[in-house]
Amino acid sequence: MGRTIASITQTWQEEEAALNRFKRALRKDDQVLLDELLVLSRLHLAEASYASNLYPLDMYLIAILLEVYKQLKTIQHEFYNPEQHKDQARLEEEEVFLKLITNYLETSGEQPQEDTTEAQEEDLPVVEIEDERSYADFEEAP
Amino acid sequence: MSQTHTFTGWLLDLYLNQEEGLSLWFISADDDSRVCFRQRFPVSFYVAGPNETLRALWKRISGHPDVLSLSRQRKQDVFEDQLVDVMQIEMESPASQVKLFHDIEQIYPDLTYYDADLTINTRYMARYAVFPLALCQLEVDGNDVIQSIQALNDRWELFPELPPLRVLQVTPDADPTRSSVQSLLVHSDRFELRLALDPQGSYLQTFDQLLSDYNPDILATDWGDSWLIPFLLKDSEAKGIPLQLNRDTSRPVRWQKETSYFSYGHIIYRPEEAHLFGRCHIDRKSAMMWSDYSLPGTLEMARVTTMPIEKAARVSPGQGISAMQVITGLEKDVLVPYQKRQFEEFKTGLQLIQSDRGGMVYQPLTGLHTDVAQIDFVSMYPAVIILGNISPEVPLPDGLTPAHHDLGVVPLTLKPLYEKRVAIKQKLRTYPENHPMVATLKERAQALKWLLVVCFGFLGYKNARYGHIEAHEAVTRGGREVLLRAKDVAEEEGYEVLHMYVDALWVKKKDCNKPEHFTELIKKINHRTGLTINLDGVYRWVAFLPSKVDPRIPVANRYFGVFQSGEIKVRGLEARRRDTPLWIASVQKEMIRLLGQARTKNELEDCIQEAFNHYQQALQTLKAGMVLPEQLVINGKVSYALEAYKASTASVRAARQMQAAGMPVKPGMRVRFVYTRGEPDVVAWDLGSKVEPGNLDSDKYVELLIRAACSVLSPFGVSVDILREWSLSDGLQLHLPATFIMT
Repeated sequence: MGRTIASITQTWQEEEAALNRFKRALRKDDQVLLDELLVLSRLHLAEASYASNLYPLDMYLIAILLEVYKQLKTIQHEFYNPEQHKDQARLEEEEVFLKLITNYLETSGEQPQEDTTEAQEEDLPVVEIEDERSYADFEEAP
Repeated sequence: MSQTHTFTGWLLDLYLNQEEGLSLWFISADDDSRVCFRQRFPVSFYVAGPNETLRALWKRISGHPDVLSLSRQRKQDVFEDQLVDVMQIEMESPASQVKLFHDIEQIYPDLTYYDADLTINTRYMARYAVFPLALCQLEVDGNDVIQSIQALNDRWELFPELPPLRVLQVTPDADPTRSSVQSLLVHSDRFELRLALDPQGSYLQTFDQLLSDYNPDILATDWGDSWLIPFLLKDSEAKGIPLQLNRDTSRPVRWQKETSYFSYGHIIYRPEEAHLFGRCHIDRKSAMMWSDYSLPGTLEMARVTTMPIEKAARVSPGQGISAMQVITGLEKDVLVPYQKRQFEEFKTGLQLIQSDRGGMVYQPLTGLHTDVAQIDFVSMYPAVIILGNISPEVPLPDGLTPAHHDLGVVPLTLKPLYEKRVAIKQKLRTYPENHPMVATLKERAQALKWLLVVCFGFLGYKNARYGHIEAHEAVTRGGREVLLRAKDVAEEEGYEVLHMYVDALWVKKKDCNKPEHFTELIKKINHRTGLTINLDGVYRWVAFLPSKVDPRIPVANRYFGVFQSGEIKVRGLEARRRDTPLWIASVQKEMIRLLGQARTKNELEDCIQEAFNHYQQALQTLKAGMVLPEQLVINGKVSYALEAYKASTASVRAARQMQAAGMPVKPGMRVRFVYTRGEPDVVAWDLGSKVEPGNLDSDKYVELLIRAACSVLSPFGVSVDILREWSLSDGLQLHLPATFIMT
């Protein structure tokens, strides 16, 4: 028989679209923050669906409050218990990746090259790369 | 009357016979012979309506030569509280019943008809409790006409005595849609041979002789419907060499028309089907669930649903569950309405918002988690239907407490099915993995699982005889309640709930990393919900992945992990998608396998490196053009007629090439293609034209590979952007920070 009522994800998208004009008028920095807040509301879609509220935006706002409060509590906890959080520092994404590459190059017999761009620039003429390889985003999900 | 004799054997095939009523083929339990008997089979259907119209109908058909009797009866309509007055029309044979019903329905469309469009298998099962492959005892007269029949086993037996089936497998030596077939590979338990398709047609004589000598019960083919049988029949006619595919030599092959239909959000295409009389033809390429449950599952499906084996192999399990519900109705002696008369009840907007909900699908805590238990409810929706007695004809429960004592048609149908599946699963646990029964039992359990799964869907299907949206909604409501109760219990017991997905929970707790650590939790959930929940396994680690579009957003069904047994579980990744090229899927699977070797968190670091190295090697192989085009074929799909497309996707462009080459393209058909450089940018694979590896658009495939690799590596800190930047560069020009190189 199909669904009559829009799914919770669809209502979320509708609410997000309804904020478009508001978002457009915001300063760029604030737009980014608004986006982040909206992401927080998506973390509780299942709960919002279960609530079956006539005005789902209420649920999204409460979800945002909940997540912001959670972050606040975490920061508070870290602030008052700094020792407990020492080990949680994680490698940055780029570092993790670079480590993988380095190990790969070492095991495959190739040597990782240091960034010698600056040194070369002094000796070599600058060549404009005309046909920089670029990848247009994939046309469709196959 | 001539003298009767007793015969014991298994029912193989049953079909209409214009003269006597039915033809039934049996496999003898005494001498392994294949025997055909006939049987008179008068059938009744019922009509209700205003008295004057019924009287007019009575007058019209009372002299009809095939009408045996007309009588007034009071019977139970499944959707009515009170008995209803109906006219019973008893007909000489099923064939005459079908004809008369269609005639009078044209004249009296407003009357209510019952038991009017039942299949012959359904009627036979309801009357004699006999089903495909049932062991039967018959009394047969001297003219081979059955006088009485009774089944010696029932549909729910766990280990029924089954006949020694003769299966003949026939496979072309090449995919006929792509290349020219040179020979047929013929294989049975007794012989294996290759029949070259010689221009004189001597292969036809040999094949005909094989059919006659070996006399198979099941002809299992590849492309039998779409190519093999049409080709054989055409060649036989052209060369004047007789070929008898049917066991019943008085019949030609019966062709069922091709069709496209919409099911569970997809357009499905079913090609023309070749059906045989006296033996069964199964085309493995068009058998919908063959890859899931193969022959043992198909036979199980035929037994429990009573559908003919040929049909059980090809149709969706939905038709099976529908047939079973009709049988339950007939066994309860309730009338089966021809047309559904149940409509959706009026609801307010708020009621609609509250009821039109699916199962609970949570947003998991993304990232890598160790020592996680996955616990699943056993066939949750069927169990909710049975526990809550959810059926369209009985009052619906509030939550999980049934509102009616007697089980309705739907739970009554499901109960033995559910119990049989649970019993098979329990039996499976008692066998070691290498036990010869394991594979067969798994396939049988899989067939039963599909029937249970679709039963819930059919409750919400408007055309289903026992479809009723309120009942469907009551099931999801019950499911949500069950899952929340389970969550409550888990949290009360100190577990962290990482994820919940309709009928499964992923939980973890400090120091809980062995199956026995979760026993108490499972017991408590069973008690609180009234449903059975099982431990699917304890993961060494599991990674819940975020959205590809926005990595901040979790996705419910995109994860992979490794159980303590070493078994890998993957959901929602490229390797699971049908359209992913084989080679890309295999690279991703291998990366996951390498990661799966890690037993501890410390070992994981080495395994990540191995997985990354594998990706690097694959990338180099791909860039060097060393991957065969057939390994890079994308299995696309067209869902609509080609004219309906405004945007030309790659699948549509490939499909248009096929259409231009005179190949038929139907909605729901799979369209295989490869990406190529220049124009055209895709080539339909089934055109058969040769594609050189150098002509492939490697950029497209590199992107596919990057995405597949990133799905695996992202939980370990590798983002798609970094991986893409590295992969699209020549590899060694990345700006490596000096500090990192020093370490």
